[in-house]
Amino acid sequence: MPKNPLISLQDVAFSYLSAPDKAVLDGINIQVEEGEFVALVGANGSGKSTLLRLMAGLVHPVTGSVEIGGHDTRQPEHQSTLHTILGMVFQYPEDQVVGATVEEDIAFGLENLGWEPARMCQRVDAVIRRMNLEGQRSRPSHLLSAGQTQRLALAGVLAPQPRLLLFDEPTTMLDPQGRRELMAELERLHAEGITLVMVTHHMEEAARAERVVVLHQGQLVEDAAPQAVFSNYPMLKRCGLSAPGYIQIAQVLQPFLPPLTFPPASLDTLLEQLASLPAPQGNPAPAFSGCPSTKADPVVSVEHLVHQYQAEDGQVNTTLQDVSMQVMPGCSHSLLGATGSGKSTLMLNMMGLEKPVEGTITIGGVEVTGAKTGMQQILRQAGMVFQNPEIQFFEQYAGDEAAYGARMQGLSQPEVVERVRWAMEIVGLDFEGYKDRLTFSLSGGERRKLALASTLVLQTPLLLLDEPTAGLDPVSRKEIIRRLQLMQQDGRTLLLSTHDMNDVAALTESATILKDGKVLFSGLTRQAFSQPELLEEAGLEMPAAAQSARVMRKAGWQLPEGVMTLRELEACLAASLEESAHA
Amino acid sequence: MPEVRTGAPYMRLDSRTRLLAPVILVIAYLLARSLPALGLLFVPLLLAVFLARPPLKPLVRSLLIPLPFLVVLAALQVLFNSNTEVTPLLLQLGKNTITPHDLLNGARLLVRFAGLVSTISLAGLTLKPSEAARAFERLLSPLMALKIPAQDLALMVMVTLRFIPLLAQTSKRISRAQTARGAEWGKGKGGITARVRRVIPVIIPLFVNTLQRSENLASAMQARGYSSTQKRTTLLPMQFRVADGIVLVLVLVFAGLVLAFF
Repeated sequence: MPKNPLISLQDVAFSYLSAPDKAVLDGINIQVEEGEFVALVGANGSGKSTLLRLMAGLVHPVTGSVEIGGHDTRQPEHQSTLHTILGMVFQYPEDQVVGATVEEDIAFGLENLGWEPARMCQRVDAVIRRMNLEGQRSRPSHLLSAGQTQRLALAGVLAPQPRLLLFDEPTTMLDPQGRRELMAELERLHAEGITLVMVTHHMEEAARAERVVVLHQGQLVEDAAPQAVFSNYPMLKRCGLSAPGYIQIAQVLQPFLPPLTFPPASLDTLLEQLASLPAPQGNPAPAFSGCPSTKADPVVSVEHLVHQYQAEDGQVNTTLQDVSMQVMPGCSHSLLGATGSGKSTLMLNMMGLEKPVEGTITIGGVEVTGAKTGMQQILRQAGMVFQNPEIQFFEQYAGDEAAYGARMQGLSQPEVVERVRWAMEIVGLDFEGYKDRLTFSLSGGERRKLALASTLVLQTPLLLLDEPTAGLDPVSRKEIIRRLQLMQQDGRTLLLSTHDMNDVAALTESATILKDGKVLFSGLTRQAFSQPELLEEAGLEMPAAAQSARVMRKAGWQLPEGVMTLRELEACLAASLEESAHA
Repeated sequence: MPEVRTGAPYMRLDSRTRLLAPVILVIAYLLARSLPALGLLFVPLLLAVFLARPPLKPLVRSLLIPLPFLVVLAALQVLFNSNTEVTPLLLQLGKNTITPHDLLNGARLLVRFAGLVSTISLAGLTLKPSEAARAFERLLSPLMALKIPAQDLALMVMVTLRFIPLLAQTSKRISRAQTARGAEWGKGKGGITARVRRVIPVIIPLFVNTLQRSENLASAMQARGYSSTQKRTTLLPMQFRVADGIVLVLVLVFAGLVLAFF
């Protein structure tokens, strides 16, 4: 007799009560066996988060049925059984921590299930050890670091020993190191036989599952092994997705290197093959030129900056220690480093929103750290887009939201309209079509664009961007990068703080790497990306294209040093090999 | 397994005792009429400080910060009172007279406030917010019979306490983000409508964000099996011991005696 699947969705359709005609999900059939690791992918609005909530029993299907371990989620008498079977980790870890201290939060689920205090105590101990939270046991949960909060959120869900774990974009708020650790933890749980279902925007993460389910506009489009899903380019494109970086690289390389396996199982297997396969003969591709304008005056100049703050417990923490760096005009710059390395604090100091203890910052000739410098002077030189900038929206209509900054500058109405039109067109929101749209009805990608436009209206030569692509799906991400490149062509210099090395490679020529508030490196991005030890020390990682190029150079390919993006790799290969073919 | 009780003797008392004893003292401070009574009420307070060994720095700071304000208040009390008794006259300042009675009034005000402030800050230092919430829940639990949801109320208190720091962080972030778009908070020109209009860019996003967060939290709690109808257990069960009873009776009797005889 075949075993019953752990998750079984039969002809599931779902729509919200507020819009019963608009199907969020339709005709979904999925079976997940005990012990499987499944990734759910799809563009924003594809219904993948709703599907996860259906599996958790948080919402119920309009038609069809959802069964977990043989229990229909709709039956109220099954609710308490469901909570012993499954646990769910949500996108924002700080929103799911209920307890005031670490141990109380971990115990919350157990208390709800009515565990005996003695047994509960043992289990809390075990989970604290497992999630590496020793020493934090009775610490107030709001004082934990981002990584610790993420671990606490997972710890609380693991405490009742669920057989099934549901993850909703668990890595959104993490730096590369935290991301690696969480993925490793997921694989450990999988090895222990726990069933995992994960929603993600990161195709590299999805590729580590055993099965990838693709959703598009509420329909199930594909349900197969990652290699089959990620080599189906037409389907990915139709669904607004893209293949993981290493598969894209393999696809570009294959014409030049036919024995290459396609698709590769992982970045490591691709790199292994690249190292072992013989390199074709070719001419040396031209080297990259450096930053164009090193002789001009810097746009940003930070000299010996020291910043401290007083924590809640009265302790004085030094967040920036003797930081010096420069940004040249027209040469966009990245601020890199792990969470808590001081990137955001440095940006806030540059905007005059935090005051340093020592040191100076000059932006476009204005001394930001000067005692008499006013906000309006700074805002003529630099605008800043905060992380998750959508939370700042307060106007009903998109046009008004974008206009706020221009209005605050005291411009006349026609001037404001002109600026808003210009800013919205640059970010790719048609002015006439979007100015009267309701702000809160925009999609994730459109909101991010509007947030960019609302800072762009200040028309500053310098733009500070804190994690501009975080939380976006692959298509919106690509689109935002393209728009930022347009702003660069328009003569603006970008200063970017990000965890995504592909954004860094695509947008910036120079970079500063921070670690624990100190400058580890400041120079050309290409140079940083050719020093793996440096990146490792800072808890960062090289983009897949840079890693591949590095391995290929060692294997004898005629590539210049410092390849960062897939497009550069492609161009270099063409220059190296096609010319030799003609000769 | 009972609550892990380590450290100073006072800290080993049940959290309900550490909640109720200060409450009794606060009431006594508010009711006490005479200076000796107010003074005597410091005896249990000092005893608690001795037995709890809290960090003294914040305790002293909580007294010193409002002190200038209190001194001014006491001085005003001494100067401007509607006291009809004018003898024996100590000092005449224009129309205002100062009598020993006035001085006594001022001293009472000072001592009363000093007692209230130190009792409340001692309670804050010896009782974690979560302990307070749980103690509150247990004290209210007899009301469950009257269909008052003590468990939900206590959880509400706990979640609110947890969210306050997050709200503070969020409002700081939003106001900074708006400053970076050119918002000006400081310039206090214009009437009330102009002022309200200026804070809209912070209030509305904060409101929307808080609603979203509470929705997320509600889902997370539901997913972790919370429902107000079922019986919950607790990680740190409370145990009311003989010592707790003795402490509470002593505090109650002492306060009663002081109020009755002084």
